[in-house]
Amino acid sequence: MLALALVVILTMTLFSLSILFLILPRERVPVSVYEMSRIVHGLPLVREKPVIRLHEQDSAPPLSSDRTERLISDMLAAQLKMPASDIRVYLNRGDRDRYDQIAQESALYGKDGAADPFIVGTFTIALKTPDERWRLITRVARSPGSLWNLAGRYGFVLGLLFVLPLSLWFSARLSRPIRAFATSAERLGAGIEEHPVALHGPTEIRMAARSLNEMQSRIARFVRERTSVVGAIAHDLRTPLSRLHFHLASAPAPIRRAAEEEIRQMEQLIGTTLDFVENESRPRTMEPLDLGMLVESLVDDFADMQMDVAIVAPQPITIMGDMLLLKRLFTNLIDNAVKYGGGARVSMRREAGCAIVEIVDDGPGMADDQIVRAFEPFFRGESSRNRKTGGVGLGLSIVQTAAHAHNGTVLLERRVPAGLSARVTLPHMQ
Amino acid sequence: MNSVTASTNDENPGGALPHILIVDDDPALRRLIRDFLISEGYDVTEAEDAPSMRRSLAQAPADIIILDVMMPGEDGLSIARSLALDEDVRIIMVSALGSETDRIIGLEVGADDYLAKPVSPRELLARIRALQRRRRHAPEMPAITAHYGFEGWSLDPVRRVLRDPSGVIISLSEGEFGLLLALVERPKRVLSRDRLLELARGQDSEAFDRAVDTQVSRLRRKLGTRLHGEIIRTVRNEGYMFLPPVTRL
Repeated sequence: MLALALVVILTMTLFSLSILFLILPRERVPVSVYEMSRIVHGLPLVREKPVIRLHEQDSAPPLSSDRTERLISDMLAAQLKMPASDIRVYLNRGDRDRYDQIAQESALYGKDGAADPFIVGTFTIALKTPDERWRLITRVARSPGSLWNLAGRYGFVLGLLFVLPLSLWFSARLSRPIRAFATSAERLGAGIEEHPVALHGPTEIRMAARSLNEMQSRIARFVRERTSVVGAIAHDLRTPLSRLHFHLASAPAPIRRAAEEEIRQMEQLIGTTLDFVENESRPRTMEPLDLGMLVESLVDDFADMQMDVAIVAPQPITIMGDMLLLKRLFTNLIDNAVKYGGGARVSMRREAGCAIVEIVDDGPGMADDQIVRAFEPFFRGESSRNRKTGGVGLGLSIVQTAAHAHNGTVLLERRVPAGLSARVTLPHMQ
Repeated sequence: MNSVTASTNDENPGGALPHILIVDDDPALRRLIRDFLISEGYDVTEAEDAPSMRRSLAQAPADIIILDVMMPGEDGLSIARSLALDEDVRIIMVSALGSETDRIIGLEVGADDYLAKPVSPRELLARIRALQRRRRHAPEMPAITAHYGFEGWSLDPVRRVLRDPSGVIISLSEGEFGLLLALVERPKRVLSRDRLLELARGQDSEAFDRAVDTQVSRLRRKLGTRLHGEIIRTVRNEGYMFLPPVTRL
């Protein structure tokens, strides 16, 4: 892992440096006195085009006291055939210090009239123009200098070139496993199948992945155990109830009817409880379905059983959902409205990428403190603790589980003047 | 369709009584069901597990098997799967697991009907009679697990799911679904209202109380939102007919 990181860092460094050298000039170019005269006349040189800055001013630039500058200035004046007083040359420090070399060259070659010393660094030539103004020609020498020099001057760019690819690489490396975590956890939330996270990435991530995988298998084992326990309970409770049914077959009619009603209620309790557990642990099958048709079909079922349930404005809204779970969700809400409010009015609409289904009744509604607790498993409002309406207190828990499984929400609200409204919001397919 | 076993009950003037085999690991319940069914005039045999069931079947074939799902050893689902090839035997699966998923699994492994415990005697009797009727009325009764296709739509009779050509699930009420299934299973045939009611009432449709006409018009409207052209034709004074050609998927 460390080796890989080093290789990547090295590659990045080389890459950044090569880019730097590409965008900078390769070397400084020496310019001879003859070439200086060509620059003054604006004539081309054989090598690359010099970088020239021009400036004009009325006042005369100061006379140089430096001997090198004087020497070069005199040679240039001779070259241009101009009076020496009309020309000034300014050199940088490096060239000024090369007086001996230049003096020697002019002494030695000068006898043949061939002295043509060169200037390496930036220099400025000042010329007096015919209209008594001064023209300043500066040739800028660009130089790569040392690496440190570069780092100083281009530190920011260099740093950016270093840091940008590296940070991109690292963030990708870090975020990929974390995204895998999120996906895995989401899937775990939605069903019971195990989705182990791949064990790669930095050490800490690998450790976390291992823990997540262990947690997943623990949860899966727990769910499996719970499912089998639930099955055993169902079997052990429902078999005696079946026997009771057959024992009663020969009992006098009034006794049989009363006892069968008791059995029916017990079965209802067992059924709801098992249903709750099953809904929590059953793997979901998400399929495209028409929510409008689904809600309408349930409303029709209730209406067919002579209950006061009606739908206004059903709409074709396609969502991704688990059909059984959604049917249970809306059945429970409509059932509650019928039980407590005597009937239900269902409406639906689209809003900001979501389908909203609202189920309202004109019953007694719920107190605010009851609404807060309504979704807790086994919670029952005091008003519902009677035989007629009494369930186990799981209906709304299932509703909430189902809504969450679809990335949706459910909201209960007291209506004015009376009644309750349940609003289910589910994201729909684009 | 005359595969009726020798009867031990001579009270029935018809002679041959349907033979029912009860497979359940609970001896008390087995005995209770047996006594009840004998009192209703059936010929009944008991078996406590898969091996004894196979022994019993080897001696005398059964018409209907009442099969418990949760049993030690080989469970009811596995037994049903192994019996699926046997054309003559009908299976009523009885299970303590009563959820929709369990019902679907039961029907998919080859059960003809699925009953959730606690089973009441009247309900069991109704289901047995329904199965006998189905044998009499529709000897060519198609295997229940097949899907139907029409106009690009598909209909799964076990999961009770209808999909439009783009695969979107279109939910129908219990009554409408039963009606559509009855029509799709008998395309291009005129079905009277009474016959439709009888066919559609089938399993789990306590909700089917409204007049067939209302259901049909609702069904037309719902399908019509996504399907153009005539699908269900009203035949005056006769009944209804399903027009599109139906394929088995």
